[in-house]
Parts: sequence; C-alpha cells; structure tokens
Amino acid sequence: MKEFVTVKNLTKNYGEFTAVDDLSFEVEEGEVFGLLGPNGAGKSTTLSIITTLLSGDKGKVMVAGVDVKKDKMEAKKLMGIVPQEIALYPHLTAIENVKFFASLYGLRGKKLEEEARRALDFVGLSEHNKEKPKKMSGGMQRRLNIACGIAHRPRLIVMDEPTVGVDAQSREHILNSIRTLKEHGTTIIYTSHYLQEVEEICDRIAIMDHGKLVAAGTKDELVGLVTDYKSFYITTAQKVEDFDELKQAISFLPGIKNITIKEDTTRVDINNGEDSLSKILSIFMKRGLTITNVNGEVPNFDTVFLALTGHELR
Amino acid sequence: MIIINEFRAFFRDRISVIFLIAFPLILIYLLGNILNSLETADSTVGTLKAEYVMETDDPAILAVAEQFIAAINEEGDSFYFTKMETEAQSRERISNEEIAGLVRFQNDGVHILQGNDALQNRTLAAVMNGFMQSEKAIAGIQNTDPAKIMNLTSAEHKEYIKDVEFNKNRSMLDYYGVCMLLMIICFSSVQAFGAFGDERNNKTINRLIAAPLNRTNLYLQKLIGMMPSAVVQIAVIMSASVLLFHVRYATGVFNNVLLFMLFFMTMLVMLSGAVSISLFVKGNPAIVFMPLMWLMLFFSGAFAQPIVKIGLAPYMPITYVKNAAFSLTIFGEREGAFQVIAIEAVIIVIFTIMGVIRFNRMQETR
Repeated sequence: MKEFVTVKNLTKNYGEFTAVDDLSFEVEEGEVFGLLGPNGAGKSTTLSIITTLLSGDKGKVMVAGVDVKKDKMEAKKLMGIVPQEIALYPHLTAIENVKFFASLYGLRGKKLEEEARRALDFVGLSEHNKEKPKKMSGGMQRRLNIACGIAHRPRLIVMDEPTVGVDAQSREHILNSIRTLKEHGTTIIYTSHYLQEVEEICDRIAIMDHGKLVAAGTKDELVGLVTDYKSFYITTAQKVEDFDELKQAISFLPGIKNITIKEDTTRVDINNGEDSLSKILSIFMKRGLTITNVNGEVPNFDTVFLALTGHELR
Repeated sequence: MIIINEFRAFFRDRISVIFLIAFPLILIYLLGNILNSLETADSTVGTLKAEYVMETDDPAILAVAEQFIAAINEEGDSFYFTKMETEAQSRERISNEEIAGLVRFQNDGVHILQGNDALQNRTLAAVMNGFMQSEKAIAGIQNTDPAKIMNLTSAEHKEYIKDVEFNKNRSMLDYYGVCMLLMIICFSSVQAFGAFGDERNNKTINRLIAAPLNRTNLYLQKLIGMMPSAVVQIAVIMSASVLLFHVRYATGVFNNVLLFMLFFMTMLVMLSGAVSISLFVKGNPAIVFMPLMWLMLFFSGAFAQPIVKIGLAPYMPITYVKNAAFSLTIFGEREGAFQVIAIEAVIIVIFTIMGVIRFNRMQETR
C-alpha cells in the first residue's frame, strides 16, 4: 500500500508552548490509523493541521500528494471531518444537515439528494431523516455527525473520538460503519480514549505525548516495545514434586526467561518470537503430570499505553 | 447553501420571529394607540385670541405667515389672530389676560410673548409649532422647486401644501411606525453578533472552515445570508403596520421604495458592523452593544420625541436616519435619504473589509 497521508517534521508552537514537536508519521492508503495520546499530547493540534484548520509553523503535511498548506482547497476536497463534538445545526432536520454539509463540497441536485440518503442509510438513520437533532438520542446524534462528514465520499476521513458518550449498540454500529468504510478503500485517521476500540479497528497506531511521537506500529509491534516476553501459567492435576529437575529441563529450551513453580501451578516467561510452549508441555507430560489448564498472559493495550506515556495525571 | 441556511435559521427560530417581527408590530399598535389617546384634551381651552406682528422681510415667510393667519381666522371658532397695534398695548392686554400672547414673525422664526395661562400658552405654542412645520415645508419646496415659491398664493400651490402634506391627519402611529422600524433595525444586530458565535456554539464552524470554500467567500455568504431576513422583516413590518394599523409612511411609490431602501441600508450597516465586531470581541458582544443601542435610540428620541430636547440627539448616528426618514415621510424630501444611504454604503464596505480581513487572519482551534 502507498502512503496517503505524510506528516513530516511537523512543529506547532503557541507562544512558548510547543504543542507539536517535530512530528513525523505516515498513513497508508485504505488503512485505519489510530492516533493516541493523553490529554494535551498534541493530537488535536495535529488533526487540526491535517484538516487545514490550523497551520503548522514548520514541517509539511501531504494528503494524496497535495501539500495542505500550499494547496488548501485541493486538500480540503479530499477530506471529511467527524469532530469530537456534535457539530449539527439544531434548526435543520437530519437530511437537511447532511445535505448542507455535503453541498459545501460541491454536491448539487439529484446527486446531493442521493448521497445524503446513502449517508443516512449507512449510519442507520434513514427512518429519522426528518427529525431534528434535538429529538434524537445521543447515539443517533453521533451517527448523524458521522453522516455529515462522509456524505461527499471523502478519500480521507478524520474522526475525532466519534464514539464518546454513546451506548454499546451505537458504538457497535459506528465501529462496523468504520470497518465498511475501510473495506471501500477509505483512509481513516481515528482518535479515541477507548483503547480497546482502537485495538479493535485500527491497522496501525501512533502514540503521541508532549507533542512528540512516542511509538508507532501495529498493536503487536507496540506491545513488543513494552515487554519482550509472554507469561504462561500451566496448571497440573498433581502437585509438582521434583521442581528443580523440571525447572532445569525447561530452562534448556530456547527463549526461556524465567520459571516459577508453586504447588500445582508453573509460570514460564518466554521471550517474544520464540515458540517453546509445546515443548514445555511435552516435558510436563513425559513426567506424568496431567495438564488441566494453560493460560497465556499478554500485556493489554492499556498497559502498553500507560507504559509508553506514563502514569502521571494530565 | 449558506445563504439559504441563514434564512432558514432565522425563520425556524421562533424567538427571532417573535422578537424581530411580531414584537415591533405590537409595539407600534400599543404605543401608537396609547399616545393617540393621550392626545385627547381633558380640559377646554376656550376661544383663544392672540396678536401678531410681521417683523420679517423674507417674502416667503411673510407670505406663509399671512396665509397661515388667514386660514386660522377663516376657521375662527376657537382661535383668532389680530394685528398688533403697539407692543406696549399688546403687553398690557397679555397681562390683563385679554389675549393669550403676541406672536412675532421674524426672519429666524417665530417668537411668542406669553401670558400666565399655562394651558393657553401650550396651545398657542402648539399652533405656532404647526406653523413652523409649514414653513419648513415651504423651505423644502424652495429648494426643490423655487418657481412655486413665487406663486405662493396661487390656488395651485395652496392645494399642493394643503392636500398633499398638511391635510393628512397624521398620528402617533405614523411616528412609531418609523421609530419601531429603527428599533428593530438596531436590534437585528443581535442576530448578526451571533453569526459566527452560533457556529461556534453549534460546533459547526470547523466544518465550515474545513470545507473547500475560502474564508472571504464564507464570510460574505454569512453576511449576504442575513439580507433576505432583513428584507422580509422590514417589508412585513411596513406592510402589516399599514394594512392593520393604518400607519402612513411616505407619499407615493418612489418615496416609499426610497424609505424602504433607507431602512434596508441602515439594517445592513448594523448587520455588517455586528458581524465584523463579533470577530474582534471575545464572548457575546451583544451584551455590551445592545444597551448602547438602547441608549442611542433613547437619546435620538426614537421612543419619545421630547427626549430630543436633552440635546444629545445630534450625536446619535441613528438621529440622522430618523430625520431623513421623517423628512421623506412628512415633507417628501428625498435629499436627506439619499445622503444617508450613500454614507451607509461606505460604512458597509468598510465594515465588510474589516470583517473579511479579520476572519482570514483568525485561526480556529478545535
């Protein structure tokens, strides 16, 4: 896949404060790219610069080969934004809202009508097209917010926490919609504070802190940055008696980092990239131990995020 | 689309419609009728006699004054003028309450020597005020058609003055028709102060800015989008006040169109100014500017003409619009309206340029 968004050495200062500090990353065409970071990390400023709302002081942002600073209008045509806040006109109905925002991108007449209806259908609001936002639930408003950002079929959609404050059903619908958009080849930059959500839908993730890029990659790559091993808990039907011998037998296997045996449970830490589990299990069985349970422990994404950005409150 | 959206936003907002259309109509009706009923005298003046003396060499004033006195004496039921013999005699008659006062027609206007009867003094002053208005009308004719002033006593001119301007039974409704429109024009700026503030409140501003429209285009569309509702507001208030309450504005189609243009341009000044100012002031500028608007309207005499006597009216910009409107409606004078419209056009351009420059330099934050 080729790069669709390129952020290169981007810097943005507010007086003495540096909101974005020499930031560089790429987003490939058709991928869902997660941009994470604690509050004040510089995500919002970065998104604002990508979407042309702000100008960077240094560096460059290219979208589909278009420099967003030099050729703002061309860059804007490629993008759709789904802001964090519900950005709708209270006096317009659902379909009027979608049509209004789509019309800003040059859609007119029959095409405008069709695309607006398609977008409403896509977010599951076809039957509510004549309702005004005030009469809609929070989840419906969120979905309408998305419809307004996608009706003009942008190639890049910037979604800023699109699932804040919605119920499980609406969240599921929104995440499915994002998957469908991805299937259609749309590139998506996605931010959220729900890390599980990011893990679930993003192909690659960048973590920012203090305006800088802390890490970027797939979920596994990011996990690998934090821990270099996986822990396995092996439970046996019998109490392990000859644990020194067992320990010694296992420790000869490649990638074994640490072994702890406590009555019927043995914990083995294996370095990433090594697949010694099956050999460990066969050692247990050769000694007549009946394995009743094997549990693998991989650090979850919350742990990864906190390890990379710290526990300090922002 | 932004233009249509602005129009929709105004007419789908019940508060805007009530505040800017229904409310002024009710005010025209209430104030006009209440003040009309206050005009009804609660005591009788009786027959009022006064003396006069011509101390002017201006043929126009002389002619009008003579016509005026002849017309008053012709009615003769409750008011009668006689020529002064000597000033000493007149003063004696005044102090003996034989006559209400002595009226001196001079080049710089009318001077009255009054007696002690307050009611008679007020009545005489009111009558002479009427004369002053007539004289103003003559001055207007002198400016626009001096030939007519030479034939002042001709039947044709008498008809012109009497029928076209003075024979109309104007009421306070006519005064408040103009004044309430000015009030609404000033208050239309509330809507304009929120033009971009509302976009921020609705969080839609970033969506507009992220769309492929340049900011000048966006700003102008927002401003132009307010014009249709401005036209509708003025048209509805003017039409409804004429049809429902029989308010009389100007005479003739052209003068009424000109009056409409005067109001419309004034509204555009308010709108362009308010939109522009809202970009320079943090928070809601209406909180600061609306009381100032009230004060400007108050001291211009828009709510009550006697306030003009305080002397601040000439410093209130709206006074010039009000005077131009009244010159057009009462005296049919167009010059003032044209001048005000021309000045307003310049102000609109300045405000718009200021606003566009500011809006282009602004950086929105998410």
